[in-house]
Parts: sequence; structure tokens; C-alpha cells
Amino acid sequence: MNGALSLETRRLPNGLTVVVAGEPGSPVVGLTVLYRIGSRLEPRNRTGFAHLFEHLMFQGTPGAPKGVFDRVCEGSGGTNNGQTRPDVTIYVESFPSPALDRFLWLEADRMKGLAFEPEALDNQRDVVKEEIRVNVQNDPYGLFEYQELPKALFGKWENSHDGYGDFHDLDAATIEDVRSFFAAYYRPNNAVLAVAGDLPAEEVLAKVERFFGAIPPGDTPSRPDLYEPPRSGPALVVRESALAKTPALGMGWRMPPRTGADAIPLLVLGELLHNGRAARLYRSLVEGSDIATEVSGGFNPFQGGPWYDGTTLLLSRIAYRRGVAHGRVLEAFDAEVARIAAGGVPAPELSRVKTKIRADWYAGLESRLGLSAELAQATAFDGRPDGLLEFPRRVEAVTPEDLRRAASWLAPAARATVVVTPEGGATEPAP
Amino acid sequence: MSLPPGLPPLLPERPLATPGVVAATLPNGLVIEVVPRGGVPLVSVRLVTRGGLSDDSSAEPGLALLLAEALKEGTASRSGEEIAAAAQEAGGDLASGAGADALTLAVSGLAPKAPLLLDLVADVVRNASFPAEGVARAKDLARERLETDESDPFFVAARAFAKSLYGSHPYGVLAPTPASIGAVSPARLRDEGGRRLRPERSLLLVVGAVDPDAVVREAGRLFGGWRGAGEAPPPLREAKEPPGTGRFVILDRPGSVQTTLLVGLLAPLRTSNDAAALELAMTIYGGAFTSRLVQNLREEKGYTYSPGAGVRWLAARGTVRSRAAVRNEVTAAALGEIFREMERMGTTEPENEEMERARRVFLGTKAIALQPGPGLADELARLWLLGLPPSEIGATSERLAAVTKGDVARVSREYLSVSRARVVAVGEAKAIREALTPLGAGDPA
Repeated sequence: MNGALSLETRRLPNGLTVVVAGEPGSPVVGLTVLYRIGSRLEPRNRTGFAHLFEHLMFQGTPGAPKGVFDRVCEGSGGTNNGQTRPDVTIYVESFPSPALDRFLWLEADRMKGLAFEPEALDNQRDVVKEEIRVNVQNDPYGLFEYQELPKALFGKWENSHDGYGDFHDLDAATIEDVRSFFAAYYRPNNAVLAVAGDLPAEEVLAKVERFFGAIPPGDTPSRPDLYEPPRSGPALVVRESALAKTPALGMGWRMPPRTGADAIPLLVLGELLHNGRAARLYRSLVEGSDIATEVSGGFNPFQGGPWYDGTTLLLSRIAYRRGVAHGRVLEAFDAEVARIAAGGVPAPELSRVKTKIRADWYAGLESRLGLSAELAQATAFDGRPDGLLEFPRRVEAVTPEDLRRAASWLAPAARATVVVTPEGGATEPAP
Repeated sequence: MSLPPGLPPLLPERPLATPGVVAATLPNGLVIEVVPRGGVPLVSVRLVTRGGLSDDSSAEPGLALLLAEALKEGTASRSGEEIAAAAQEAGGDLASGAGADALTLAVSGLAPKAPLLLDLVADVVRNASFPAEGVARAKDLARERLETDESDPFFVAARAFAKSLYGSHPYGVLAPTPASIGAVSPARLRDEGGRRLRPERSLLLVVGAVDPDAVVREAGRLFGGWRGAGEAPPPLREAKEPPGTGRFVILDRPGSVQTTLLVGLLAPLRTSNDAAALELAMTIYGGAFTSRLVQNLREEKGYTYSPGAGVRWLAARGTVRSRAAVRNEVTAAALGEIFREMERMGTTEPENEEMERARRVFLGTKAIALQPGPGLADELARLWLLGLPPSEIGATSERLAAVTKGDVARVSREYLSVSRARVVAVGEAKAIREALTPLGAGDPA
């Protein structure tokens, strides 16, 4: 990326993979601890459990009771967050560099074990329900692209179930579930730790060994095959929302494995269609016609880049105007894809799209936290961070012919669509 | 709180440093600030013009938003599509928007493309043509987006809160109305664009891996001939405390499973002697995860996912505001706790540990936000709009160190006063009104 970045990768004897990115400049450190478990592999009768568990990682340990983690974090000038994704869960912190030892201690402390207190589970169960109320139940569109679209698109339970969870499953979760999930997935051999800052790599590696080296590993978790071939027929779900005042729809397609020849071309195609005011769908559906008001989406939207197990989706989310039939939105989308499949993409446009992808990639690595999180995620899938650094070169290699081939993955017959319309249906003429 | 055994000590703090800003002022009054830096080869360019929504007359609410949107529809030499393609060629996407104090154009891209980005921003701000077709489309989109926004409880609450707190002051309007959108014409936008977009009320900010002297030279060439047209908008008057009536507003949202609560008062000016104490007070009260409000409402009671509070500085007095989205059944209980925590801030002084934690997290969060990139550009723009120099960043540590516990309690009595606070609740009225009545709720608006 830039000449000043130095990267060191090491695997400790207990299996913890460590990446250190040294970069001169700002006195801020980014730290990411990633566990290779996300919502797709949570237990079958416990939808939402991976996310509920993420909340419990902040609820105390035997040595640092509830409240200590956040007080030490903020009292050291830092901020933290957690995020549950389909295949990984990440814990991220930003802080001034004099606090590095403290944050390594805090992360090692919770990798050793949690407090496993029923009161904390009950409290966070309530908090998670409020999170679901504010983001789903009280939202006019209810995150339908995360919640309902995977259900319509995929067949395998891992890919199709609701990662936020239903309240019945959340209510059923016990402290024993928390213990067994921790033992199965929250071990050093199933984790990646990445540090980015203006720091000497050897010194950081020595500190990580000191704090984490003695944490015992666990069994290697099994990873079922999550791949699913493209749908052989379309799926369509139309529902009314009492809260929405304008309609929106989400389309999804099952995607090929991330190591295949079509993954990066599909990523480029997703950007070409969706990213920014120059994108094809913005030009044709928003600016060039009276169909839509907003378009967004792209390849592997819930984890980013080419990082996923088995399959992922290409998402297209379109907010459209009252009085427009959803069939007209689909037709306009299909026409745009058909143009690419038939005629490819003009070289200047492809070049601009690649430039935009490269700039966005740099922007993701600009903050120390972004750099550490991206390094951790790439390393979690490949065992080394090189895939992240090679990403711009792989994008650069995509040809117009690759895009024509990629466009064939977005066939109408392979699509799942979820439509959300205002209650009363006044905006949805008969198809 | 006792620290766990074995926790390593903190090493000595490093004070927050003012970034190295290269500044220049063109003869036409345009201020230029460039922050060169290493790191990723990106550059962030923004043009900030004072005014924004506060330039709008009461007869034309939200005009600044339409103006910002329509700027991207074309110039004398570029169509809207060509503007978008030029931004994309540099690796960016041109964004425009209007806030209470400013109209802003912003675009980022690869550092070697800085000349193209500067050219694009200069072209848009100087030569916007407001083509009839583009303006019609911008109006259509604004109408549809307003309708979509009407379904968002935070939007509805924030709009009502601004009206309640600011009354007829320009800060009382956050959005257009269907009628004000309908009345907009290309000619009106052309006139207002010329009147409002003036070099003497603008700042050009460039942050990135660039040569600052080259940027200043290039900016001089591109913006040197820029002039406003017509009479400049008048300066904004300072906002005044609203009258005591209409203090508590309930807005009905049928089918809502939560109530969106906003509670707050006017903030002082950022240049006031109370500013540093208020920043610390708000950090202790609701501005951090370990603040009293978040610990109480979320970590103890489980009433809400993401409560919080903060001070938002504006040029003519901003707001001190608490917010929470809570399930219907605990709406009154949650508002009662917000009132209790507001009062407690004024009646008892904070603990030493709370003061120190607040100071650390405030400075740390600032340092994180000021990592080179868009966050640094945002902060420099904010300071300029408030009439403060970039060196204010380096003065932060000292400002905070001078604040006493007594100061925190004193400013809390003034700015976290329950009896003077405005309250907005957006939710299912029939489920919450009765329970809120003892807390001061009147009839629904």
C-alpha cells in the first residue's frame, strides 16, 4: 500500500495468529481480536446466539467484574466495539499508544474466561431485544436485506436463518450455552489478533506472547461446507409494513466460492452497478428515469472484500417511488445487467470503477482501527494477510470479458426478491 | 472502582497536538487550509460555506438542502453525469449537503488526482447551471425522500425538537415541506446560489498526501476569480431561550414498538467560559459508554440499546441533548431516570475517578477522531465555523485540566435543568400518554 508500512505475522504455540502493522505517524493504536465464529454457525435452536454472546464478552471476567472492561478502556482514553458478522466476530479498540499494555491485558483476560453470570445474561438479553426493536421492529423497513432476503435466497439453515435471532430463541439461551460456545470457539487457536500503530513490531510481538502465550488452546472447530449453487428458480416475497411510507426492495443472488475466478469480477460488477452517483443503477434508475430514489448494495455486503466461507450474496437494494410496480424495478435492473452481458463495459468506465475501488480500499485502511480490522479479517481466511495487500492487483486484472461472464450470475431465474410496501398497498399496482 | 490485580499501569500521556496546517487567504477572502500527511495516498477536499439551513427564510424552509442537491446537476461545461464521472475518475463521489451552519461540498480520492478534485469543486461552486431538467429531478427526489424520512422516528423527533427549542429562529427548521419543495425554481436557485456561495464566507480544506504549496497555488488559480452575486445573507442572530409553553411534545406514531425520546436545552456559545466544563459534564452524564446515563438505562435497567447525550456546538448556540429509544412499557420509567440523572449532575459533584475518566476518554476520542483523514477535515471545518483557529486542538488538554468538580456541577445546573428542558416523545400515543402525564406531558401536538 505505501512504502512506510511494515508487516509481521506470527503464530504462537497455542495457535493464536498475530499480525503487527507498524506505520509511522499518529499516536493512536488500533487493536482487533477476531474469533473465527459468526452467526452462520451458531447452534440451530439458538438463532441470534453468536450476537448475544458478543455482548457477554463485555460483561466481566473472574478477575475483572462487570463494568471494569469499559471503565479501564475509557479511563485509558480508548473506545471499543464488537461486531458479529456471518463468519467472524470482531472486537476492536482504538486508544492512545501509552495504553497498549492495558488493552492487551484486557483482551487476554477475557480470552482466559468469562464471569458467566446469569444476571448479566438477563440484562444483555434485554439490551439485545431493544437493539432488535430499534433496528428491525421499529424501523419502517426492518433491515429486510439482512433479515428476510437471506431466508428467501438460501436453502441451507446456516445461510438462511436470522442472525439477530427471534425472541423465543433468545429467551431460551442459558449460561450453559454461553459456557459451551466459549469453549468451542473462543480459544486462541480460533483467533487472530492484529495491532496497527507507530510501534516496533518485535516489541509488540513480545508483549502479545507475554499476555497470551499461556492461554490453553481448544479443539479445532469443524467447518461445514456452506456453498450452495445458484437458485434454479426465482423467489419473491412481498410484505406490507405499517411504518413504511415509500416502497423498497432487495434482490439477492448466491455467489461462487471466494477463491474461484468469478468472485473478484462479481465484486467489481457490484461496485460498477451500485457505488456512487456514477454507478450504472444510479444513472439509469434514479437520474435517468422516474423509478427509484436510492440504490445501494454490492458483493458480500455483510463482511466486505472477498472474505466469506462457501457462498455469499450479491445484494441490490432499491428504494423506489410510490406508484411504481416492483416488476418495473426488476425489469430496469435486468435491462442494465443484460447490456453488460451483451456488450461488456467501455474501458474508460471500467478504469474509473477500478480507481474508485482502490481509493475505497485505501480509505478502509486509513485509520489504525480500520487497518487492524482488515488485516485480522484477511488473515482469518488465509492464515496470512497477503490477500489484503494483493486485493488491488486482483481488481486491476479484471477484464471487460470477465464482467460479461460475471453478469451471467445475476440471472432473473437465480434471484430472490423481497419487497416492502406501505400498508394498504396503494403504491403497488397489480402486476 | 478498584483496578484488577495485574493490570499494567498507564504510561505517561501525550498531549493532543495541533496538526501542521498550511493556511492562506486569497484576495477574494477565501480561506485555504491544507494539512499534508504521510500514510495512505488519499486526499480529502471540502469546501465549506457559512450559512446552510440558517440562510433559509421562514417562507422557504429547507431551500439550502435543495440548493446543495441541485449543485451536482450540472455546470456551464459539465453535465451531472460528467460531474459524477470526474469524481469517480479520481476515486471519489461528490457529496453535498446543508447543515444548520454550513453548506458543504466534499469529495475524497487518490492523492495524485488532487488537481482534478480541486477543479471539480471549483467548477461546481462557481459555475453551477441549475438545468431545468436536473432541478425538476432534484425536487422530485426531495419530495420522495421527505416522505421516506417521515417514517423514521429519529427524523420526526429531531425536527420537532428543533422547532420546540428554537421556535422562529432559523435553527428551528431542519427540513423542507412539500410546499417549499414545490416552489423551488432554477432561477431561484441560481439567485440564491450566487448570493450564498461567496469566497469571503468560505473555507477550502485539503487533507492528505499532498504538497501544500502546490495545493495553495492550484487553489489560487481555480478559485481566485470567484465572486458572489447579489446581496450577501445577513449575519445570524444568537438563539434565545424559548418561552415556557409547549415544553413537552408527544407525536403519535401508530404501530410503534418503541418511544424515541429527546430531552434538552440550548447550549452556550463554544467561546463561553463554560464550554470546557460543559464538555466534561456531558461526558460524565451521557457522552461515553461508562457515563451515568448509559450505565443506568442500558447496563443496569436494560431499557434501551443505545442511549446517550452530548453537546452540539453551533455558531449561534447549539444544543445539549439526551436521547434514547425505549420499549413502550418502560417509556415513563426511562424518562424518569433521564430526569433523575440530569438533576443529580447539578446536586452532587462528580467523583475524582469520574472526572479523570471523562478527561481521558474525551481527549482519547478526540485523538482517534483526529487521525489524518476525513475526521480531521471535519474538526477543522467545525472549528472554523465556530470562529476558532486550528490551534484550539492543541489547547484542548489545558482547557480540560482547568475544570473543577464545582464547575461541572455549576454548568450542569444551568444546562441540564429538568424544569427548563424541552421534551419530545415519538411513539404510540395511546400506549404512552397516560404514563407520561405525571412527568409533564400535555395533549398530543
